[in-house]
Amino acid sequence: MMVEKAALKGITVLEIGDQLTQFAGKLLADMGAEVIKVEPKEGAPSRKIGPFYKDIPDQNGSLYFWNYNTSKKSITLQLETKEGQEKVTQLLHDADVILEGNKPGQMKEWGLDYVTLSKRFPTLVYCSVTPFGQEGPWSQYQSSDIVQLALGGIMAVTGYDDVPDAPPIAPTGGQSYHLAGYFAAMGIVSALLHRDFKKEGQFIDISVHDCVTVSTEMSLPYWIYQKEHVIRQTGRHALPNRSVRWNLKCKDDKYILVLNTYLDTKRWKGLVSWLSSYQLEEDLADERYVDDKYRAQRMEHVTDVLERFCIQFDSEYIYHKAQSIGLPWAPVRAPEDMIHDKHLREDRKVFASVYHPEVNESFTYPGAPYKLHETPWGISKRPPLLGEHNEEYSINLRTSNLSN
Amino acid sequence: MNVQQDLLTGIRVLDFTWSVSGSTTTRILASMGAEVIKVEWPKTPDMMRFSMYAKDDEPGLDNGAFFNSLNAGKRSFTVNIKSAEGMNIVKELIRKSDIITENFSAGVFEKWGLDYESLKEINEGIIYMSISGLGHTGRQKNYGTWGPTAAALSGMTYISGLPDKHPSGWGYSILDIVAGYTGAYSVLTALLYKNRTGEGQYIDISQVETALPLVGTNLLDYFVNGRSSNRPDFPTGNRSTLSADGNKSDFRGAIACPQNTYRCAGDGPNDYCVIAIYNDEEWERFKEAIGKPEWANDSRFSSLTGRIQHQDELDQHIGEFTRKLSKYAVMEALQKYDLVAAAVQQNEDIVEYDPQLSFRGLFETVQHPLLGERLVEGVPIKMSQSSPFIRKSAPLMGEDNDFVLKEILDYSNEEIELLDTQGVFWPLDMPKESFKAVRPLW
Repeated sequence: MMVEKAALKGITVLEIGDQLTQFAGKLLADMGAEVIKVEPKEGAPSRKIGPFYKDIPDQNGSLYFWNYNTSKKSITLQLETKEGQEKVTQLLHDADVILEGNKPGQMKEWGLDYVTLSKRFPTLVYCSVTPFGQEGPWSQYQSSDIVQLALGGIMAVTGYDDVPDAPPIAPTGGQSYHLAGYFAAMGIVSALLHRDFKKEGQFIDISVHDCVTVSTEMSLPYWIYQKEHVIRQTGRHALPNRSVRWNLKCKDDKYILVLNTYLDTKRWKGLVSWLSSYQLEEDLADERYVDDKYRAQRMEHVTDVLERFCIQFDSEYIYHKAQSIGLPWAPVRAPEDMIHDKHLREDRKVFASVYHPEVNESFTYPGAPYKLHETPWGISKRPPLLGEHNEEYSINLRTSNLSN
Repeated sequence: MNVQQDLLTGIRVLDFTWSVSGSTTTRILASMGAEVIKVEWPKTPDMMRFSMYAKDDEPGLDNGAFFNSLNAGKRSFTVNIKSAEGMNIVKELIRKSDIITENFSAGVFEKWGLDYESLKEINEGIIYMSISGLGHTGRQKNYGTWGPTAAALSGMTYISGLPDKHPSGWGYSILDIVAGYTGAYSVLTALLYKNRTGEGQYIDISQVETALPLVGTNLLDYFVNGRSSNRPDFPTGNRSTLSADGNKSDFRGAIACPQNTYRCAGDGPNDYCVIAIYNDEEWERFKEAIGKPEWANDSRFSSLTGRIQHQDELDQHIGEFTRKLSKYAVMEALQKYDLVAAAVQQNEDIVEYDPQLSFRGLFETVQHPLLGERLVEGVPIKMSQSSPFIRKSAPLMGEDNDFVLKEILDYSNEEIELLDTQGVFWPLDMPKESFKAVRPLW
């Protein structure tokens, strides 16, 4: 599928990185930028990360790699060699951006740091993504996704208040890199705006630790304004004091989020009359509960009643019925359950079909995180095979061809 | 101030966002130098104005603490959009703006006659960015959603938790934050496109959909391999995997074992560290780092597969080591051997003691007329020429009415006074001093 109008059409990015840069690269590529992933000849390390297509480890079969490298091209270069370094310089004649995720100092060792390159390419936008930034006491520390979730404060607020001795919990999925990816992508596009205006490039220093730290909502303000720690609570915001629980079990063993933070009189009455239709309202029909203050003090009890109600019905029934009376409730679904949601699948078309010629199969991929009407998001091509575009960029691994 | 730092100088954002997601978008745009005018009405205030207060403060309309962080750098203009005069003024402002942002429920802007087509008629090249729970189209577009609702629907709540237990979810509204970022990224992209082509844009963001790439590998494992996450051993807690074949993953990256949280010295809820050991070579270094205890030479632990098979026992041994040290001591001891280890930091640790954040100057200072000098989180994009920065505190309600009416719209004092007596800029039945928060949101 070729995207006709694309927001970043004409922008070329060399992505010299892997786990730290791949999501930012995807954000740019799916918006129409030409993103060339520069890999070592054995492939980017994430090609070795599972799960794999049919559970068979293969350099072109990593689903982890697939998720983050849609719409990109792949070339292989040995950056530790002079040939590899010269090829990068050559490619920069037609490139706008370097997006790199190597250890601080590594690119300089290869003669590919911003200071060196910007002398020849003054309008180059150069974005480095590292775990902790280019300099500072932790800049050389080892990192991983769980390290970032621990240091940045996500784990301290995430966990249980109804499981004894439960530790802080790290959400799965590689979330720290997603947060950093957004800031890297924002930084790059803002630098392109600046470049078009001022005719100069610049260096962007993204630290994953910074990005995670600012992405924790109210936790830091609680310290800044109240000098209070916050406590972890199952499925809801960490706060200085315990709040009423939200996730209740349904008949089908799934949980339903009964979000009651924004209950008003009309919704309350709708809820009570729904419970009453099954004679399950207990004492909630008492008129005093209509009063917001009276009810707020008794939400534990209200939730007990709701818990006895929810366990008698399936989560999807509760979801749609609650929504029909204006309650912002929702079932706690596994990601894949979205495929059964017709609003998402049919109306919003949130999944994309991507053809993989190497296995002659089309796969369902996660689709657009935003709908830009004039320049639609799109996966222009499945993730590249290792070195798939070497020929296009005249890369000969044996004897580097620098004749042009 | 270096003029080059004003990346978005001259870009005006007419900002109808409230709560967290949309406000996060416009906070970022403000930090890049855009003029963000938050359109408000005292009778339907942004709930974040009273979601949290400083210790011992009387709840008011203008001293919201979290609001100060979330709306730093913006201006505030109060206008009754439901009056004909108010709507006329809003349309005049749309004509003089580059970007319109809102995160109302689907249909609200349309009901006001401000859908994209109408906005385009007023201002041809306008960029209109909207964030709603389920998007502007589709059979359930009118469903009520907040950040936690979207997290539940998209799987984001589900993917966090201990195996064989109910989901722990996240300790905050992660999709409010991420939807805010998608808003800023897509608006910047639309601006770049507009600068090149003159064309505006309509950006329809659904919070649920912003989760798609965040659970992307998980989805692919289901769509491609048919492996369901509806199983007792998913999520994996803080471990990397629970299966020795390595096929069942936490989608965080490479498989590690040991990988977990471990109790450290102290009894606080956050006296924990995390450790992750990815391969046999690291395992050997790990043994060195913890003083070569005898148990570590057990042959069952010598391969990654063996360690995964016996990780309960392994974790118990490691816990005995970490229990004696502070979380930072564990981090230092293992990092010295180039191993992946870190302390679980809570808010106080981060604000007061984190040496790396302090070195980078992540927190900035703003002066607020009621809250005084306060730290706020910066926007974490360090740029050599055009770094974003927090320019001022959050606005008082209606603080910039004069600026908007006189400087932008050229209204005379007489015109303003006349409209004021009609209640266009403040409700006539609501004296400015009398506001009391109904009750804190939480």
